[in-house]
Amino acid sequence: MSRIGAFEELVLLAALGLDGSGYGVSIRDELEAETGETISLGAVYATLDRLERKGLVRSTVGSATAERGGRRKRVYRVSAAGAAALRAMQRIRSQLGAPAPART
Amino acid sequence: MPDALSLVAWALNPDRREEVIGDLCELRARESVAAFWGDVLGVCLRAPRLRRWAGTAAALLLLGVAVMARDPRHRIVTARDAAGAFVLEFDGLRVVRATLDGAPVAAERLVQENGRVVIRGGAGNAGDLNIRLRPDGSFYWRSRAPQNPPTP
Repeated sequence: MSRIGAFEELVLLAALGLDGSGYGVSIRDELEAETGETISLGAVYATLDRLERKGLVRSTVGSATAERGGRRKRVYRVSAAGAAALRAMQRIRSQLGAPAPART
Repeated sequence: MPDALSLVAWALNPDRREEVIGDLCELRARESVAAFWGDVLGVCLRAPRLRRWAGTAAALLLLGVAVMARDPRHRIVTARDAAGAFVLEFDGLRVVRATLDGAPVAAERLVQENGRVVIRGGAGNAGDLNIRLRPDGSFYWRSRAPQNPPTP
């Protein structure tokens, strides 16, 4: 299973929340709204690119809109491997956050 | 693949190009000019925090322009201390003329080097007037001692 970094995890979660309709700008918007930080679009692209190479997201060419000058979007969907990587990260986090067993 | 190479690969791929240019078109309609160009740089360099750096650089540039605008090349400043008034005439950060206690200072009495100006005390004056110039155009000096009135 692929290891994912903290930012990769956030991008995966944002893409998951957008349920297959997420593209560069909307994923960046989602991340900025949830983290309250300014996030570079370039960082989002680089991460999506890396996640796609790892097989954790799949992209397809979506629809064009007038506000994009008639250009099509590339929408990203979290793959089964991506969902598994997220679940694994959550499991690790909950284990690390669980209280240590009492010593007798 | 290193990010620089993947950027080249994206630029050569018509689908990817369409995606990036479309996204930037969308942002241009709703972002400020600085934020938009920050994003363009961020996309080109793929740097995570470049937008923040670009914003800081733009703010510093604007600040610099504002300071330059506040610091015209030629200005005349009058100051006063215990010994009396003096006038400095600046050209940029250089003092080109000075008047001490109402009398023009001869060029040879005006010594200037490394952000420091010394007006050598003339006849009847208590001492030198030492002035330090700051890069923003302001200055400070050590107050001269009050001049004693002439005794009869």
